[in-house]
Amino acid sequence: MSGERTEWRTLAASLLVVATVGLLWIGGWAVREATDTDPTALERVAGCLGERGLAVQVPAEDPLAGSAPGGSLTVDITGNAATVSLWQDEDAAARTLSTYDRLTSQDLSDRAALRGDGVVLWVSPPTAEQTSAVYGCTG
Amino acid sequence: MASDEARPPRERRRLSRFGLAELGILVAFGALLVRNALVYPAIAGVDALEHKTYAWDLVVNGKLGTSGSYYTPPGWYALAGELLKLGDRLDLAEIERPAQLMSAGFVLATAVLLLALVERCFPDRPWLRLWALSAFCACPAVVKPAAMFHPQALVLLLTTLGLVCLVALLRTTRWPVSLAVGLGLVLGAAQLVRSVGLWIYAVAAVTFAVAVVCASPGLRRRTAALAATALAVGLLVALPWYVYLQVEYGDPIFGGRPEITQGASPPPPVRTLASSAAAPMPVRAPLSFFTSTGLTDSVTHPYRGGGGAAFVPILLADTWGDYFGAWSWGIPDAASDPPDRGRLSLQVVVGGALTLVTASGLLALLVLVLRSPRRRLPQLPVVGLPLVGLAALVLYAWRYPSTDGDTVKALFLLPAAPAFAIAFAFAVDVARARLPAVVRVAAGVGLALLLLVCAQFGIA
Repeated sequence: MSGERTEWRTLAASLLVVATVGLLWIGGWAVREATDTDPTALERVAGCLGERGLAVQVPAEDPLAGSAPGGSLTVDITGNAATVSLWQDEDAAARTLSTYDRLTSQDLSDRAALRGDGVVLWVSPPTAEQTSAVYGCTG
Repeated sequence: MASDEARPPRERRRLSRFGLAELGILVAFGALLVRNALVYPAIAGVDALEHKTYAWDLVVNGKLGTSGSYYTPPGWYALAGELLKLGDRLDLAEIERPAQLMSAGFVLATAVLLLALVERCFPDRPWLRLWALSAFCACPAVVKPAAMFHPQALVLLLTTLGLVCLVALLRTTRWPVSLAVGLGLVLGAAQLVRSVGLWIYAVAAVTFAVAVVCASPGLRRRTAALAATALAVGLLVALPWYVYLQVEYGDPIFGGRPEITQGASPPPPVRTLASSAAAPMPVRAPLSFFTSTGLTDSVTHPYRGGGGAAFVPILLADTWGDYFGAWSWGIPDAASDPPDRGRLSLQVVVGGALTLVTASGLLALLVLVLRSPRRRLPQLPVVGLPLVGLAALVLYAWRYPSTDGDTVKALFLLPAAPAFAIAFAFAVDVARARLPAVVRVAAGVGLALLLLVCAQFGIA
């Protein structure tokens, strides 16, 4: 019957269209996955600080921070500077803070801070404005 | 339509075999729904506490719209409240059980109406009827709300009844006024249950417009008069509720809901250095929300909080599985149980295949209806309802973005479930008639197995 044939042809074409759209959709995802790389945590922090007009140096010159698996950076802000290092988790970050403490006879309580899985070490005790600008980018 | 006596004996026997198969499916479906309604914890259902408060206050205290669901019309709450009172009088441990059984009854009645709808849209195609019934009964998005203390099952029933009346009106040569008034009452009643009851009203309006255009000059006036009667009655029945919402809240449809006027409140942020500078909630959902595949999380972790939170992945996972955890995991008495990831992933894969068939059937039907609107007029509402539902869902998700996909529930699409089931069955039936016997049997068995996997997921 011609009605049956029309239905069959229309269905076959529809199936082809739907399958093609589905394949293109998934194919588009696959291509994007292959070509796109998500910014690293360090890139996100550096980008955020850069957007605030701050000078960022990657990596930091501090050798301990430089060994952080997530990377490190130094940011200059209104006459002060902060070294930011990103560690694998909060425990590793806390151990780094203890190491900083052991390596110097100075009191670091107002110059070093644990920020999630990161550590921030200031050259001088920061002002509220300085902490707000830097911590706003480091969570 | 040919009467049963006019058919040859062999065809009659074949039809009776189909009738038996349909009866068997309906009995099994009914048993499943009743069992689910008796064992599923009422409080686990979507917004169950809100609905219970509303129904209780309406019937017992005589107060309208006292819970967070105040913007929902009172049609279902009036019934549910009486059943809450009955449960209380019977001293049931869970007084919601009678209302849950009512939901099961509504969905079972919808399955029966589905058979009537298919017969009117596709006369003498028993395989199409059987596949439509099977798909409807196996779909988790249909089975889940049938066990819940929720108004959506009633709007499903009224929408399907509206479809049946509409198609019956289009197929009759007599065009009786009583049927038009009956349709109008159903259209109005659907709007008095949930705002999604408007969908069938919109579909009826469009179908009538096409019917008037396609009608012969002699019939055009009568068609227009009956259409106007049905639509006017449908509007008049629901009008008091719209006026009430407009007067009380300044918004006749959504009642000025805070999450609609101000946007959904985001969950408390979890911030580490790696996720620093969390983005604020967008005013509108971005295009990427609708185009994202959510892969691979949408398959490996198809549940809320598992990643892959985009429109299509959420809708697929919630239709065929349990994205929000209200069915098989995360319910209040098992909050600490992790979801069975393997089972949820299987549902997404199986559901993806069934969705492919359904989408193909829907597209094919749309093309056929557009090519021959006069000949296929009774099939127009079946195509229109899912399209209206999907458009409404996209619009809702776009206008009111939510951080956890809460505005993309498969439950919203429930009134269109019978139409989706027909689209699925249409694809299977057309292919069945043209494929070689071996392929036909293999494909039929394969699809039946996929539906059985889904049906098993629907056991509470």
